Amino acid sequence: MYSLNKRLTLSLAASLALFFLAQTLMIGREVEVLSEHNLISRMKHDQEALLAALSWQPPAQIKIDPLRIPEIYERPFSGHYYQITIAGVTVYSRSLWDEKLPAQSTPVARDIPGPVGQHLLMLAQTVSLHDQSVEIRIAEDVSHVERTTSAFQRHLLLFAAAAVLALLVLQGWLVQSGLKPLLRIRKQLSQLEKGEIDRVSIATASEIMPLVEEINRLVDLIRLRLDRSRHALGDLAHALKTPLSVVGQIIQRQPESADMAQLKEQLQGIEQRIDRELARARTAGHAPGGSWSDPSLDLGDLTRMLKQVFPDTHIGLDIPAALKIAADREDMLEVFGNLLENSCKWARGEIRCRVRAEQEHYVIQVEDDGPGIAESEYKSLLMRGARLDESRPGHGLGLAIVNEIVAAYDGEITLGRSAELGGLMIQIILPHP
Amino acid sequence: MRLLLIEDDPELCHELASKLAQQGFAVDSAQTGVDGAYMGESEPHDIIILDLGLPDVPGLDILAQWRRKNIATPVLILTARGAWHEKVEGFRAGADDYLTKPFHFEELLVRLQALIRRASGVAGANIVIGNLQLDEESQSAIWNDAQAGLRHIELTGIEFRLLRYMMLHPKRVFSATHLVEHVYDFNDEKESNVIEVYVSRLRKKLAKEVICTRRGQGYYLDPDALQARP
Repeated sequence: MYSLNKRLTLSLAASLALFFLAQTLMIGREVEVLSEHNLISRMKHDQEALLAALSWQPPAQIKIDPLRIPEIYERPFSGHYYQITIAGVTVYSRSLWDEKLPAQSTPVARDIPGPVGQHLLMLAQTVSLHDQSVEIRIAEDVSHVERTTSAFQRHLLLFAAAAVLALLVLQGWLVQSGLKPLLRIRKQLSQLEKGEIDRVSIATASEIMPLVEEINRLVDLIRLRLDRSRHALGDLAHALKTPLSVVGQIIQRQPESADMAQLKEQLQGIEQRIDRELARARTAGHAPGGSWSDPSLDLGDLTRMLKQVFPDTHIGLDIPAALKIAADREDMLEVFGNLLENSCKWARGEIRCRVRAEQEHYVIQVEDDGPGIAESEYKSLLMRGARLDESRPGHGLGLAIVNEIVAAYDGEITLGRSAELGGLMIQIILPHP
Repeated sequence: MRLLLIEDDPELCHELASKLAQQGFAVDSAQTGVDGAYMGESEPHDIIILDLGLPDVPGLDILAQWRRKNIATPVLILTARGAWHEKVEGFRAGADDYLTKPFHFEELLVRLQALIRRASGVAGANIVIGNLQLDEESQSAIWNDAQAGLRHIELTGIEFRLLRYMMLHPKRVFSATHLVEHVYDFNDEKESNVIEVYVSRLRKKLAKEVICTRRGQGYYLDPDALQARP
């Protein structure tokens, strides 16, 4: 699994940083080249001016008309220098004072250490004058240009970094808001799972809408299938059990015999099997959107109903009024109906039923003041649905059905002895979806 | 006790009807929801057994319809589905008890008797007034007199039905027509003067002052006549 958000942010950040770095390097380099280009072209002009100011008629002295060259060549260490060599005689600019320009092998020499720690860019040009070659070398201190250029480059880098940062923030926000519909869907899906809503209900981007529609379609389909199979099972139950009732009545009418007893036993086996399989097939389990919206009302009615049938039994119900349980209502009514009816059959007069929601799960406790069950019987009661007492029909099977429903919800059921009432205590832990 | 049985399966309906009749109920039976709903509205039944899985009208709708029309007759619902949510819905629609198919007839009987006693406000497992106890199982009465000791009184079917009905509603005055309607089923030949005959037979078997006549109004059971005399 990976995060779309992280992936988008990272790849966008990397491409942004790369772009700005390349741009900064290119511009920085370009500025260097450009300023050098400017320098060189100006120095070439100076060279031409020098040539023009040069007057030499051999064997006369070399003479340079100071009015025709820029005044800056006259100031000592001004950073602008020239050096003209004609037939072994060299003339230096006044600005060189007593220094000489270093030797130079190429027409353009860069980064040459000059007088007073200056950095020189040197240009050499050879022309021919009166059949003599004249070498005009000109140098300029570029340290201030270098300083300006590198300051510019630094600023450029800073600006680029700031721009990358600002763009990253902007892009983070864009990604976030771009993914918002997905986050909303995720939230709704978890609500759907918990049964707080029964379908995903947001209008979202056209790219995701088909996904939402498909989810809704599947949820509807599951619900429809569940309804349909429950309905079909109900019909099947009706179709099977009514004739079974008749068979049972007929058997009872017959004189008792070994055959009849066997028939009766077989019939009972069939009935139990049908009940159990029906209960199992009816169980919805953790289906999306399943919710028991008003357990307090349903359980109130359930206990009132049981009190009608078992008028001597008091059922204490302790359930928060606003509690909602994220489980199928029919499943849960099956659980509580079986547990409470079972307790009613065994209790001497007192039953307590508690339901509460904890951080991770729901806790359901049903206890009674009946005789309870020996510890050795717990397992068989839950597993096989064995009837412990034939005289009270239905006992045992109910617990096995409860056990299966609880298992469908990944829950846990434990039997024990009630500390308060002394009878059987059944505790069920149902994890939140 | 006039009982209405609404069950669509003809076998089961017939079987139950005849067994219930043997147990001293005046049984009317209906195999469709429409008939059953009508009979429940038009005849004065004391108890109704209603199957929820009727082919034409859902049993719960019939029940809800009766309750809307203020018909308060106790109703026991039979359900093949056996799902608890259905039982709770049945209870909400106004059912008083439920039984899941298949069931033992004895269990049905126990539930019916308990329901009848509850509906007439009788607490406890037996119908007892003073010296007189009704044994529903053997359809006879037991007279427990301090001087004479225990006396078993055999009763015929109609005598039993009549005595049970009156013992469940002591002190209440019933006209002969009313009693006929609750002792005989719809198909029986009814003549109101037969009540007079059965009342006098009961008086003979128990004691003269147990059932009193109020001229022009009808008969009532006097519980004071059944108290142990000092």
